[in-house]
Amino acid sequence: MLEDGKISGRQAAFLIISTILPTSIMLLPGIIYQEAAQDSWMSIILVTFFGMAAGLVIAALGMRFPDKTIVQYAGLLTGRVLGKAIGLLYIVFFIYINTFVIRQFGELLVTMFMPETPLLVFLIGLMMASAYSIRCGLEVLARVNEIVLPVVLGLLLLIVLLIIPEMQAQKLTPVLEKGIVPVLRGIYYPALFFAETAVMLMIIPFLNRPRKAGGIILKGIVTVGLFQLLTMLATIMVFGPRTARIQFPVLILARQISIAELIERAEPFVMLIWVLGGFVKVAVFYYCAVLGTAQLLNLKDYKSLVLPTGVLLTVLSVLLWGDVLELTRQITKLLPPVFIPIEAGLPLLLLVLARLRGNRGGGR
Amino acid sequence: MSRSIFRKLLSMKPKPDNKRVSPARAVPAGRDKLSGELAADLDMLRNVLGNSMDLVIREFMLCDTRAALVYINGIIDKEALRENVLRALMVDTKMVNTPGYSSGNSLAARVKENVLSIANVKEAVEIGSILEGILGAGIALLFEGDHTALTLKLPAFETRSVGEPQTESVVRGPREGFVEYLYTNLSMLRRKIKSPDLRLERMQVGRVTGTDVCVAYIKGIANPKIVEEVKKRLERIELDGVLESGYIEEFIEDAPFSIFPTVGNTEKPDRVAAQLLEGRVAIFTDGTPFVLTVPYLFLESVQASEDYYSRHFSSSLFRSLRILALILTTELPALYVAISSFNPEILPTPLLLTMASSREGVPLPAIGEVLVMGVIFEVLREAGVRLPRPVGQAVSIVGALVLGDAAVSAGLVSAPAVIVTALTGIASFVVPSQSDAQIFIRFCFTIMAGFAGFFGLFLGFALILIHLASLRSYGTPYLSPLAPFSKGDLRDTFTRFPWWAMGGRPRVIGWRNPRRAGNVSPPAPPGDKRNSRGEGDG
Amino acid sequence: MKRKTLTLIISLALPFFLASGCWNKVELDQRAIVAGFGLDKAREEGRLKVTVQVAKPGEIKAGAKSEGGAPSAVTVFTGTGYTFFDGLRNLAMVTGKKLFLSEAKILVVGEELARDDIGKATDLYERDAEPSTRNYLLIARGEAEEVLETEMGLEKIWAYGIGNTVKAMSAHGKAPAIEIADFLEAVESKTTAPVATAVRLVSKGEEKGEITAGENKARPPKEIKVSGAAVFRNYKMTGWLDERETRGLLWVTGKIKSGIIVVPAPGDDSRLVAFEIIRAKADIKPEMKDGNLTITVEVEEEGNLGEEQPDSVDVTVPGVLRELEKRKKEAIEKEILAAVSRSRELNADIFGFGEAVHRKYPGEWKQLEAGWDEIYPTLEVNLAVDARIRRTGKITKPAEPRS
Repeated sequence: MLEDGKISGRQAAFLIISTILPTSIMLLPGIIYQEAAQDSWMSIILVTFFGMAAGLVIAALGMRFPDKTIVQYAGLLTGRVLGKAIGLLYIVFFIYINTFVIRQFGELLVTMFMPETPLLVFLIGLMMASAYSIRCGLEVLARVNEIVLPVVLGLLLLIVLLIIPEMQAQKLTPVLEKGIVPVLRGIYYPALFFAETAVMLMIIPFLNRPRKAGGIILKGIVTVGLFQLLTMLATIMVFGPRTARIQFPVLILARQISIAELIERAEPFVMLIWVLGGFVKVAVFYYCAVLGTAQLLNLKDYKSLVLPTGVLLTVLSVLLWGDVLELTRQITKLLPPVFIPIEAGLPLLLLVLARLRGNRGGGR
Repeated sequence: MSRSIFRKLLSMKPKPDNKRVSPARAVPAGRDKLSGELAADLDMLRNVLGNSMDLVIREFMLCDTRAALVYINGIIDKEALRENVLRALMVDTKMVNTPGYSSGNSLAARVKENVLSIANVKEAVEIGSILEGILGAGIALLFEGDHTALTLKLPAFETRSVGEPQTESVVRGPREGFVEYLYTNLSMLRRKIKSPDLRLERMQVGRVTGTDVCVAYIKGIANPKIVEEVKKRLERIELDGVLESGYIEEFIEDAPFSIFPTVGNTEKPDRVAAQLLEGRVAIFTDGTPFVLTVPYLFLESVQASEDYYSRHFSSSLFRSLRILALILTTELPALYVAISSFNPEILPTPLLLTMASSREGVPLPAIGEVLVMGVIFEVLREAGVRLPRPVGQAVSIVGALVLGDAAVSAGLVSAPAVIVTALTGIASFVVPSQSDAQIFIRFCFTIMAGFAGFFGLFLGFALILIHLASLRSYGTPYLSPLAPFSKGDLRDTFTRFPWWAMGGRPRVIGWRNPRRAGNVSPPAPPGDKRNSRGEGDG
Repeated sequence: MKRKTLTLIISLALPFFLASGCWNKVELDQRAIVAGFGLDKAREEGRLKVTVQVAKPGEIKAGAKSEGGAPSAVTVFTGTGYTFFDGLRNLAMVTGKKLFLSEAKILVVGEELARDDIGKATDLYERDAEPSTRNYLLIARGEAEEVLETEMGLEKIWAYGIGNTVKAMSAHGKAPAIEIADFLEAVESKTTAPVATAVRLVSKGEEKGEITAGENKARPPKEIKVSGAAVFRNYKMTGWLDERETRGLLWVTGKIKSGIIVVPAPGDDSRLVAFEIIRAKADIKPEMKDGNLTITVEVEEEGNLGEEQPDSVDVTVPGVLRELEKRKKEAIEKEILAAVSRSRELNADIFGFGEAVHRKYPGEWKQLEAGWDEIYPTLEVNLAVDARIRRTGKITKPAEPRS
């Protein structure tokens, strides 16, 4: 085994939350609002169900091979060559989506906090932390996340709580002004995020009870859905139509806080959410990519891959996109049609295949 | 990366000699047993000990056999020697030769069994063990024509009396602290835990000093794997001298390159007893009042023994305060730098204006201010610790008045920087067991905040967190019970639940006997049905 | 391998530590803390005149010693630029320090610019990381620069004084407190007309002005008066509301928290009775009947009898209090109607009636929205004001002279 650590169900659920939440709360409110306007919160409820369905497919597939990652068992299902190709596809997916997150991470910090500091400074800092945690192994990452996530969620709740005086419930009306169609269209982009449970395809074998993966994923997704709903509602009720134009609504939300002229501009809270949460998110994808590569190449240890992959991720995240708008355009235009099938479609296909062939690889 | 540099440096040193220097090594080869000729044997001992000035050899007649007492002056109990040894041997020895009493065939055995009214008597044949007996505060008794000698343990030397420990003073709770003498310390522990399961295993560490080390644990509560690991690591120690438990600590800790301690220490018997009862292993070292305990977890540093003696509400409150102090002392200067040089907008306007006005005309940047003041504070603190008390007061006056007040009024540093430094300094005394780590983290965070503001601070925080999460102390994750999370153990971390609600032993350590309290229910007035039912705590 | 890894990590980490030190780090004493912005049309065509009021923190405490005159801890700088941002950067040349925009509390825009295009002022607020969209937006009758150059009451940092006044005036119903975020929200609505606080300078009184003219040659001493509101259509200002109309507007939007309503005493119109407003609530209720749209504005007001000029009414007499309530109600209605008629003149839906209709009748709204400009001036507005008097203070009747 490349990884000999085992993580508990709780840790896995926490990792799922951290894998989805940090970027989704920052980016999604604006994007969804452009489609579904004041009914965006309904889109989130619906997309949570989609996330649950996708998560169950992933869990069902993973539980058939409780001691293997998708890179290892894809070959068993489809044959050697195709299996390697699928493995490679997932590795590329993990790397690509990660460059995206990394770039987004830096862009927010540059735009909102330190406009004059070069992007690379933030990226290198982030990658150092991620690389360090990955070298220490999945167990350590899970443990770090056990501390980070409660802080992140707590701060998020705090921000929503403090902004309550600025909320106007009437901004949620009229309900379903243009019917259900915009709400359904609003599912499209967040689906990309809510199917990021695909990382579990790599992590299920390291659960101390892989058979419980389904419940774990559901718990994680529902929590993400709840917090996403909360931030979405807060954003709509505070900004109304402005939401659609704001790049990082939660951050601006924190900036609007003003309680008795004492607590004002709680932006460092958001930065803490972003730096800690973002670091875990990047580290999870980073880990999946590195582990997958090591398994694909039949290496004994993945640690030698950490540094090259980190450099690759950093360089790609700088080179792939010229400006922020290009980045956002890709989230909304290019990524969903390509990545949602990889996240949810391909696992479904493999699951059906496994059912048909009656494969129960490595069953104990 | 620091690890590999260290390894490199270490490998350049010559390989240490692996054999233990036991007293027997000083004995010439082939003559390691008693010859039976008294004079020759005494000469031999005299030679081996280099005719040391405190060596006493007292020859006398035991009935009609020549015999000799050998001991080192000053470390044995002379009273007992006179009353129970010399008097018995010289005056009451008639029975030794009485045939009816003879049960053994050697004189030594007969003396041991019939004459000496001393508890700890051993027969010795080898010169080495005789020497060990003499050096370990004992008396050797040699007989003409006998190949067996006796060693009697009669330790009596000047020791400090049991007093209140300086490092861990309490308002409520036992005031006794360990002393330098191992057996006194063990007796204090025995007095607290009257259980046959309390195991005290003796080991000797130090090739020259031959220091007694005792591994203490409670069988059935402590994890045998941890006990084994402790013993294994102790056996591996190759060092000439062990003068303090700190020597041992560096050999047996899990993360020698970490700034965080993974071995705990205390000088309070009640604390050691509590640790043992939680399933930990204690390591007593002769010559120091500081006892090591493993596994040591991060959160132990915010737990004081007093927490368990005072009311649980106040204990819980003070724990939270300690955690707050820990955060303050590590992050306050960094926060000051990040706020004042990078993101001042988060301050309320009046505070910002006040800070801005006090910064006016200060030559140093914010990071310079706090670093300089921080270093000065550490110097003052170090001076205060080492100096005799009356001078220490002078130091604090100079420090507080001259450096603090004068520096501000001269406009060298701003008042907020002084406040920050002072607050940081005070807070650092709240959690003393992490004080080394605190200083490092504080300066690292400050520098990182100086480079990249809040981002640097948060990044540093993440790195420290990863490091902490990667540490283990004897198999137990350092951050447990927070990560990995353990719900039951959480009752005794940020808060302290009342004793009747903490029926479970810490799960991460006490593995085999997870309950420490039986009838777990809150106290209720007599006749209350809860009292009779004795329900669990759920 | 190990050593190579080490070298790589260090070479990656080093730039992080060395490079970042140079950017974005500005010591507090190197920042010029801007308390308020002013924006006018510059004399040169196509340029903007940017005014900043910069706080001098060092003088906040020292100011206590200064003799005579209003306390001050500010300096005002003015410069020009093609845009707001450009102007601000140009100002840095004059101030010598980096302008710090986060602590500003107000943005004052001159009338001329406001009538032209106020969008030139607001975009920077939303886009830039530093300034806060919670700043109050004020429109100056005249030049914004003059407003920022005028001392303000007891507050040493004048712009903050203006900010506090806006807050107080809004609660009293004399001027709306409009944050830039509120303004933009109204801009974004297709029908609601944005409003902003109005501010102007008034002379302190002729004779006083002449006496001090010697010392203060430039201008006669003036005072800042925050009152009334400016009405916009999209980014263009179209007119003013006076104090009375403004209170009418604030009644409808439910912003009034306190204030005084003065009515003539029943029976003796020369004597006045003043009521203190304790709380007020408002609701806009659109109603669609057979294609006819009516708006009902419900206002619930509660207040106390604050003062009466002796000896006009005797509240202990049954029925008098009811009569007073009726008069108070009429006073409120008059104020609202004044605002409504003024808004019809300007054809500006300052109350957000359109949005209320939108919320209640989303289906019909599509047609209404397009023709709202035609609908609004003739829209039927009903008032349902409920004014109450709860308490009469410590006494029941004023002292009665012995006759």
